[in-house]
Amino acid sequence: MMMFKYNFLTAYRNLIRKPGFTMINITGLAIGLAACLLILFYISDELSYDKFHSKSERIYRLNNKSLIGNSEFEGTYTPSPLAETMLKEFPEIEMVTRLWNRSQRSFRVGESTFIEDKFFFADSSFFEIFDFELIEGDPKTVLKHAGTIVLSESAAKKYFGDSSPIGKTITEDNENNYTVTGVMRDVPHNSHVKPELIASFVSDPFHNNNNWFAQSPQTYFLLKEGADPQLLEDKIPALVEKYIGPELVRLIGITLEEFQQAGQSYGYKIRSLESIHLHSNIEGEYEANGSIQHVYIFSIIAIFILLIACINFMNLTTARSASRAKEVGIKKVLGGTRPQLIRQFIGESLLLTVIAMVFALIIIEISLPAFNRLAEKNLSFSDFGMAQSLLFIVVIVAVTGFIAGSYPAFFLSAFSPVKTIKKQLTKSGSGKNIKLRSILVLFQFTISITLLITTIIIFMQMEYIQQKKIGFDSEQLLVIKRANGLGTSMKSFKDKILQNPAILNAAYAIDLPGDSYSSNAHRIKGRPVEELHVMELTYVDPDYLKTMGMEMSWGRFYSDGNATDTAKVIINEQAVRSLGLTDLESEKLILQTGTDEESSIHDIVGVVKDFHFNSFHQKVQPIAIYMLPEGGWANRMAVRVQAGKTREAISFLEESWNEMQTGHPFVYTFLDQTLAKLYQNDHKTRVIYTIFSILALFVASLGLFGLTAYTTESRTKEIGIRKVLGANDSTIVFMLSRDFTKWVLYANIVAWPLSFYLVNHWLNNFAYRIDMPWHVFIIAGVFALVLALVTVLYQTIKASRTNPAFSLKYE
Amino acid sequence: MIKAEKLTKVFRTDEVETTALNEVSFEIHKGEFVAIMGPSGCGKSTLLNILGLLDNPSGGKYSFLDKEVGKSSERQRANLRKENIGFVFQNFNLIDELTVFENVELPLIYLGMPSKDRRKRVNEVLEQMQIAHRSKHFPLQLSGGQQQRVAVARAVVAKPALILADEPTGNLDSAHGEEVMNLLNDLNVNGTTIIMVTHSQRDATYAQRVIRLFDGQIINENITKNIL
Repeated sequence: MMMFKYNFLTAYRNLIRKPGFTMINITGLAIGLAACLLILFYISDELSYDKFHSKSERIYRLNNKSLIGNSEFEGTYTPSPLAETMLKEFPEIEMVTRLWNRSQRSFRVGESTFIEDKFFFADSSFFEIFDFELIEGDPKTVLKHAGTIVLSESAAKKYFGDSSPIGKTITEDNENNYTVTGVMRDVPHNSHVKPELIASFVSDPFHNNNNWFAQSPQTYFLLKEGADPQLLEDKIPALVEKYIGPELVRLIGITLEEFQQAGQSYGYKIRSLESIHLHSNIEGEYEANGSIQHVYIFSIIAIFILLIACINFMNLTTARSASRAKEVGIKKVLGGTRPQLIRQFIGESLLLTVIAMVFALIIIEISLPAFNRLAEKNLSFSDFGMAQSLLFIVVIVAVTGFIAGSYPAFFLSAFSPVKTIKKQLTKSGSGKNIKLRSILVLFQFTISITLLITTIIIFMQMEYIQQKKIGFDSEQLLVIKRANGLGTSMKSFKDKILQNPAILNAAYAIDLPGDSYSSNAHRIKGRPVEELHVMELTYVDPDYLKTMGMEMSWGRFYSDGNATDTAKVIINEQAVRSLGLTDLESEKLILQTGTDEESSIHDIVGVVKDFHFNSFHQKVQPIAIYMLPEGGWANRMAVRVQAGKTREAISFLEESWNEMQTGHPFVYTFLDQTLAKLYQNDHKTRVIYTIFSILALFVASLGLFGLTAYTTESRTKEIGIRKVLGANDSTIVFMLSRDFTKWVLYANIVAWPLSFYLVNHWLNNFAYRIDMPWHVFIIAGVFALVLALVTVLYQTIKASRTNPAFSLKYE
Repeated sequence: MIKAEKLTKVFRTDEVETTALNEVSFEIHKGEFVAIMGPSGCGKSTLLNILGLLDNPSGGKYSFLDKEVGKSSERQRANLRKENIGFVFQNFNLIDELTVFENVELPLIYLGMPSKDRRKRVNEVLEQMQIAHRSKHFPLQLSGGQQQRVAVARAVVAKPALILADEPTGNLDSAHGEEVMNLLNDLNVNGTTIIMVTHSQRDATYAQRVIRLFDGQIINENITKNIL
């Protein structure tokens, strides 16, 4: 115990006596620890998704996976009858529920109407499978009957204020009435699905839809305890054969076997609930999911930043070993043993780490709101619970303190007492040590330069995506949601708004870029049924082309007042390529909704130039654009607004909307903002990456600064002698600077191939990517070099200006 | 108490081999005060390091308290040191981060003495060395003479049988030097064996015997007490 007090005292006084050393170490460690903790919180939040359900380990979702024609498809949509069939066929399934998101529905209570995007239909078992907590209502019965609905706490407050909504009525789309049977606590942020209104599935008019090819709701199931999910998945093909096989024969006249022999496939895979957020990123996810790769990357960055800070500690401690050598010598002379000294030095590094951790926590407390904003998270200490946060902190402090302290401890405690008390140790340690320190600096800068290069290239790629010609003009383009709320007033609304000069063009469409398009099988007439192609499709009005600012590459677009155009089709260039069309004039496209007789056949009248309706991560897909019949159901209206008159246009649109007395609120977005959401995840990664690469560079430079300070100090005598012998300031600055900066130069040599590998890997994720920008490697290298030089120059110039009489007396 | 037989110490670097001690033999009895003298580089300090168990000889035999210790491990030497030997250095070698009291207390901590006994013993020694009023000061706040008194206090606090002093007055003016020599003399009168390396003829007169070294060999041993 006494020993501990002594070590603590020596450590404490040592820290106080060398404020520069202490400050550099604590700053570096505090930043490293703060970064590490922030990332840990981030990662732990990412890993916590959907684990709050007590049965989460047994809950699975079904994914549709198919290969039709040459297009592979993987999505979360499943046919409506699948859930019940699974329950019937597979005894290992305990419960099933369908979950169907219907966005853009308007809900009204009294005078208040809101458009809801998070409205879902769910089967009555929903609240038994999932642990979304009900504040009011019985989980077993809330969704049992048609016309019942459960509201989230905030939705209940929004519509009903503080009074209990139970038993009250809420009206959807002015026609469907729901009785509120339950209120659930707001869904935690770490849920892959965040419903706000859940109506019973039996309320949906199509709930009995027996079409095996209409992919609509998501299907979730609860596996019985002890059941093997893999065995279940293996049984799915037989189920597909039994139920979908006959449907296939009925629709296109071939058997499933023939279909598969043509190299195509159709089936379902299971995906565990807990793995959805980080491992699944397919068509029809409820939100932009995370990515396990980012979790790995950020973990590595966290470890690296902390390692850089630890290396600072090692380097600085060993560099100033001479000042501790005497202490080691005396303690050994007086009978202190090496293990005692090792414990002392590790204790010191632990003490420093504890102090740094206090600062780190302050840094986190201050920066957490900003970090949350950038990372689009809502992290807080309380989310992790006191115990877990504390455990994190204690483990990190222990590991960091040990890593940082171990090398100096073994190094310092090995000093021979004879040499130390006789002052036979050189000031900065032996040659072997200087080499090791240099290698550690090399390591720090290798990491920093790699982070720098990758950050710049990530930026360039994102910039490229934003500036790449997307095939239409997304600026000054307003999207009115729920345009079908206009009902019969669609035409008069459009006529009215076009009278305002601030509004240049307007067009109705079912989907606009950034929406998730529906898809269907298509075939060129006369070709065999095996040549089905899954193509995305949409319906638009004749003003679509000019409103969107798209261009034709062949033929014509739809024209107003030409009713026969509804029997035509316009495709994109990609569709021409993947269908392998050569003679567009004579080919006809079948929209395969049943047998050929049941399906509609369309003349191709035009080819639109490719435009990006999905993220740049994906290649442009083939799409069929059909004409929206007069008064047809359209979800969206695109409005081209004159630049500089946006505000005026919006108020005019709202005024006109209200005049139509739709009973639905006026809701709009800007298309460029919607599109930006496609890159939300990239954006997040980029921001976090940038922050941490800057921090890494800063901590590394801090270390270099400290190291130069000590090493230069230890060479004061040498500098003095050189000056006496005739060296001038610049020779000395050159000599000192060269020793440090050469390692930064070497770091480039290691960092370049490493960065190339990493960046290339990342860029390959994109269907459209920049060429490897070689100049970035040079720029990053030069930048790191300049940074190192500036860091070093301050010290070396100071040293070179010292009066030699003083430097010589110093020893 | 100490018996050196043909002690040899050779330092090797890549290119040079230096013989610092060349078959030195002598004996020192309990209660003696011996001075080792000689010019710079004659091997005095090397000899003192070996006698003080800070270093092992390259050859020959060294028995300390009737035990052969010439080939002991650092751990064994550390144990013998802390129980039996006190050191006084020319440059005091106090730990700058510890107070006077804490510096003197350190050997007792390594010996595992209970806290209460330690405090009593340290205060006793500080009184004896007339430095008690400075016990809360740090070494750098003291004069050279005071620092050396602290160093002597630290050397004797564990009541070692042997004190090794390496030019104890080398960094002191003559008045302070004399003070320190008197302290050592008192200790010797009370039964402590003292071996002192010195350049100073005057300091050597405190010793009963002088061993003169030149080029790593003993050239002369004489009794000074008789002269006095």
